[in-house]
Amino acid sequence: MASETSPPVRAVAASRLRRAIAVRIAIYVALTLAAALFLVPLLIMVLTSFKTMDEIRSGTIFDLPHALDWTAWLKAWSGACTGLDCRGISPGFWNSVHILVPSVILSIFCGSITGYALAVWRFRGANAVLLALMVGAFLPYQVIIYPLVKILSFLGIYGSLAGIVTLHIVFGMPLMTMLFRNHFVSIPADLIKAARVDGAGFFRIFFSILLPMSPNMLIVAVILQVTGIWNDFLLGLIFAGQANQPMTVQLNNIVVNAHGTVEYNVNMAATILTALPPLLVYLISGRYFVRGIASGSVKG
Amino acid sequence: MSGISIEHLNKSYASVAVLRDVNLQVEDGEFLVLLGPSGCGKSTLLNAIAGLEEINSGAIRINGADVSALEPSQRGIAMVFQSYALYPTMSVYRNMAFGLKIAGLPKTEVEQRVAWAAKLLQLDHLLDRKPAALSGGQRQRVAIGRALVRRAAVYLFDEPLSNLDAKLRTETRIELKKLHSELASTIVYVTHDQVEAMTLASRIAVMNGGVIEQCADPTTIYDTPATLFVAGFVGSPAMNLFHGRLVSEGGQRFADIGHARVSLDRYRFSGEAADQRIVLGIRPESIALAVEGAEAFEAEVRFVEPLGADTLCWFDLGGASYCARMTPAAARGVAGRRRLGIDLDRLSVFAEATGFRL
Repeated sequence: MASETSPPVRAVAASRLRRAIAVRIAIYVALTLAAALFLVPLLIMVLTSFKTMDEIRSGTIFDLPHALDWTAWLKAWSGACTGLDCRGISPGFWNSVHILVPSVILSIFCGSITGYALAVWRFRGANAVLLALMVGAFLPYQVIIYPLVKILSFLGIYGSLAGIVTLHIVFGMPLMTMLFRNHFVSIPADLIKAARVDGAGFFRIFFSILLPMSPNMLIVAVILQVTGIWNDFLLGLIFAGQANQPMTVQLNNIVVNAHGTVEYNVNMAATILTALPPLLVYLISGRYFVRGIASGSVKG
Repeated sequence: MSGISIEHLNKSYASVAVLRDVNLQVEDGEFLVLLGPSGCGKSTLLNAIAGLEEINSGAIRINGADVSALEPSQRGIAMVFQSYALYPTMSVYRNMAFGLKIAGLPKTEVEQRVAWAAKLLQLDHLLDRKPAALSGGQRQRVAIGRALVRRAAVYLFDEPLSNLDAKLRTETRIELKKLHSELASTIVYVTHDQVEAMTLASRIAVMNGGVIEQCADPTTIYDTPATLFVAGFVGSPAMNLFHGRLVSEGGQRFADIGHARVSLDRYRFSGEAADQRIVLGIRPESIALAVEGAEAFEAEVRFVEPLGADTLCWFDLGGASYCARMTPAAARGVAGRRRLGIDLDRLSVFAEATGFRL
């Protein structure tokens, strides 16, 4: 009986295997094409940044550079001019760091503590606050730029580091609050009750019990905020003031500021330098990012 | 004196009343069990005592002081939760020391108390472990230890054994009983498991629908339930309940349950009771095969369930199914129509209209 049925069964199995392999191959081809599509601009940037201007003028954009020439990178970092200022984009880099560090720390702190309050202490009007934050998350901020300028100048922090950091905290609130609220909601109520019986108050429950339980969420928050704040252009341009202009704004100044010849190699190098920090954050902590995003859903 | 006194306690969520005019006295050193089905308000009452739920009206006194407005940590209570609620990122030691550190106790005192509790609960070798690395029973002991180190006036237990397997539950039950007799502390213990309630309690408060139906020692609860609900809830299998009429004839009183008449001559009524519709309650072990000449009724035995120590006989009377508990020897070969006798000293009679014991 078994030997009678086995040939057709085997044939079915074999055809199924062939199908599976074909599907696999199709998936890989599609993914490779998609990856290539996204990588080509980056590749052109890297190639161009290592070329001399002569090479760029004489060849096509896909030609390999004759040698690894770091001149353009050096110039981009410390020699390119924006107007009369010829210090490259390194001042912008440091400006961005000065904006980034307090903004990331404070926005995560404010967002997580708001999320904690909304999730654990269901105070009166908590739902209204949540709704307001939701609306905030979907509001395009371009529409409120003018009122913001008025408000910040009224407060006397327009065009200062404090001003731009405040704005990043405010604009980070909806996403950060939501992220942490949804995480803290999944924490068993008994744990909070036990801590209250033990005498822990609002802040101690947060710092001693909940935050140590949330390393993945913190990493996700850091990645989101570092990328978001580093890549910000508009807020930095309008609110940071001349002295604190972030790297993105200075990059733009360098790229559009060219008198005479456009130094493509310098522009490319400067752009890569500007894009590098968020990229590094992703590469280093991407693993945790996935874990953090997934942990919220699995715990339920 | 570390008793609890609860007066006219009311609690409702929106328009749903969860606790209705609850009055309860817990004496010093007493092991009081709050027993009831899910949603009867027993956990809410416990949380109200702990200060984890706000109350709408009424007073809660611990040690004679009104604590209604105090934070949980200021009430002199310690609590053990159903889910253990251990702090997952802290070691066993830090779990137990957390509350003491917040209270600002000196380090040596903290160490001393944790060491004492760890020894008592055999947790000495686990102090450096995280809760995730412990078994269910060990976690339970840490949760109890965390409560004990507080040296509270009152210990509150919220279904602490329901997450353990059957064997461990029995063991921990005995441990708890030993612990209570050693520490002589006041305990309020919530459970829906009547075996736990019967074995642990010095008194049981049976709750239903936000009301305490009866509060008495386990024997009283079992032998003379105050309401129909208590009669039906406590005991397994449940008390047999026969609907019928209370009738008086020539100075004698009977319960007429349709297919039989049961004499109530030896039943002690709690007060005057007019003839009315009643529910007659008979425990399964109060029904046996009738001996010659005794008061008895005929019923059809449907099947028997041998449980080992005793045997349950299920019989039909007037279309409904009832149960008698017999010794295995007596129940051997029982089938068909048999005459069943009733222990007339162990009856319960309830008014059908109110559900109260007559």
